[in-house]
Amino acid sequence: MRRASALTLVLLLLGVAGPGRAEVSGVAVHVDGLACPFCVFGIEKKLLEVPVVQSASTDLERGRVRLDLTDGSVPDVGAIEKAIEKAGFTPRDVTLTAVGTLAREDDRLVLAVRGTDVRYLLFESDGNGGDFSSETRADLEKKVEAGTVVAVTGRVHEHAGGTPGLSIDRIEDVHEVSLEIEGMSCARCAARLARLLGQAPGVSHAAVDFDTRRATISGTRLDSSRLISVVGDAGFSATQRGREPRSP
Amino acid sequence: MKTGLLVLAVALTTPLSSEAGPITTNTALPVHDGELIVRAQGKLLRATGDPGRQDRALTVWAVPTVLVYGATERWALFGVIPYLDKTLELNTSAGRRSRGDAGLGDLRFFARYSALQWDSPGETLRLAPFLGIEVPTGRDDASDDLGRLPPPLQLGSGSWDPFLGLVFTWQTLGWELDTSLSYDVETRANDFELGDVLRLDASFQHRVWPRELGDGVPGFLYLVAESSLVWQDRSQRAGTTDPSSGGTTWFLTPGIQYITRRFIVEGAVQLPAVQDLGTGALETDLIVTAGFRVNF
Repeated sequence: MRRASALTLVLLLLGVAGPGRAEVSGVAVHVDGLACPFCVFGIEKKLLEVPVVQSASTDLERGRVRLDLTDGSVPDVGAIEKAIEKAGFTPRDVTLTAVGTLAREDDRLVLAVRGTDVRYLLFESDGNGGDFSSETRADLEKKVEAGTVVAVTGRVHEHAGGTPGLSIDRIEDVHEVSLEIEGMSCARCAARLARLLGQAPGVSHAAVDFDTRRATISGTRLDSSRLISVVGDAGFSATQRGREPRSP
Repeated sequence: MKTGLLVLAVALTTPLSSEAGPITTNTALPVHDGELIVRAQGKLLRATGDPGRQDRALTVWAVPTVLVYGATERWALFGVIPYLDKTLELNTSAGRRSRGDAGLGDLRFFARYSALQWDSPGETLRLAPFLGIEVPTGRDDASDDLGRLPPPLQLGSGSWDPFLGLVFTWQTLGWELDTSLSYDVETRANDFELGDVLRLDASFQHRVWPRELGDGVPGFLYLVAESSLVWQDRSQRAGTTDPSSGGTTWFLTPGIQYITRRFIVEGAVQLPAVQDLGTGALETDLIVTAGFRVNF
C-alpha cells in the first residue's frame, strides 16, 4: 500500500495519472461445492491471503469468486487453487483476461503479457486436444506478424514447472482512444479522472496527462461516447482525437 | 431416586458441529484451515409425568458453548463447554422440595475427519467420521440435606466416556440433508455406570428465502425439520440394573435458521413422538433450543 502511494505521488509530480496497467483483469475462480453463505467467509478469507489479491467478492449462485489484484500483478493460479482447497472446497478453474502480444515459442503460440515476463501457452478451448484449427492458426499468425496488441480471455491451467496454459474463450484486438480534456485545474483532477476512466467497460488501461490535457485509454470494444460521458460526469469536457489499433 | 436419565442424554450428549447445517445434530461441512467458529446454544429441557406420589418434575437449563478449529482442510477439532443448571422438584414428607446443582459440566472434545468429499457446482456431498471423549470436569459429588444427589442430577458423570460416529451431508443451494449415527460408551464412576447411548439423527433444511438468489451472497432463511432416534441402555448401580433407566425416544424437531457469511441464528423445539422408557422414568415434555454461531 505504501509503495502504491509512492508511485501515485511520482505520477502526480510527473503530471501523468493512471490507475496502473491492468494487463491482467477479470480474474475469477469457480468453486465447486459452494452452497451456503457461511462457507463463503472461509473461501474469501483464504483467497485474501494470496499475496496479489486485494479483494474477493463471491457470486454464490454461480459459484464464482471475482478477484481484484494489485496493479500490474499477475495471479498465481496454483496459489489461488491451493487457497480454495485449504478452505475445504474444490477449485474448478480460474478465468482471466490478459493483454499482450502473440509470439511463437517452439512452434507453439504464446501470449506475452505486456509489461511483465509472464507468458501463457495458448490453446483453443473447444479444439482438437487444444490445437488450433488451420483457419484460427492463420488468423493468430497474422497478429504475430503485425505485433497486434490483443486481449485474451480464457481459462488458465498450470503446467508443472512449465509455462501455464490459457484456453482461449475470446480474443480481441486492443484499441486506443485519445481524448482532449478541458476543465482540469490540478494533477489530482487528472488522477481522479484516470481512475474513473479505468472503471469504464472494456478499459484495460487509462492515463491522463495533466500537462498536455490528454487522456489515453486502451482496451477492447471501447465506446468513445461513453468515455466522453464519463469525463462529463466527472465535471470536465472531452473531444476525441482518434481511434486506432494498438501496436506494441 | 429415579429421574429419567434418557432425557439428559438427549439434551447433553450431542457432539454439536458448528458450520451451517443442523440445529440439534451434526454436519460434515468443512471448517477451513485456521478457521475458528464459536457456537453457543441455550437449551431448556422439561420432563414430567411421574406416575408415583413424588410427582417429580425435572428442569434443565443447558448452555453448551462450542469452539471449533480447522486444523487442516480435512481435520476439525471441537471442544464443547457446557454450563448446566439442573433442578428436580418432588414431593417429600416435608412438602414440595427442589434438589439440583448448577455449574460447569463435563467437557467434550472430539476430532472430525473429512473422509469423502464430492463437489460439483452449487452442490457437495461429504462423509466424516468423528471420535471424541467426555472428560469428567463437572462436579459429581454434590449433596444437599437429603443426601448425595443422584447421578442424573450431578453436573458431571465422574467418568471418562469415549464416543464415536459418522456424519453424512448432502448440501445444495436450495436444501441440505444431514444424517448422523453416533455411539457413546459410558464408563463406571462412583459405583455407577450410565447406560451407553446410540443415536440416529437426520436434519433437512429447505431455503425459503430468498426465493431467487440473484447476485452476491444473500442471507439464507431455512425452515428446518429434524428427527432424533435415541436409545439408551439401562444403567448399572453397584452391579444391579436400574429398571427405571434407559429406553428409546424419538424426537421430531421443527426449527428455523438464518445464515449469513459471518453468523447464524437459529431456534428449534424438540418434541417427543415416541417414548419407550424404563418403569417410572420421567418423560420429556419438550426441549427448546436457541443459539448462534460466529466464524473468525
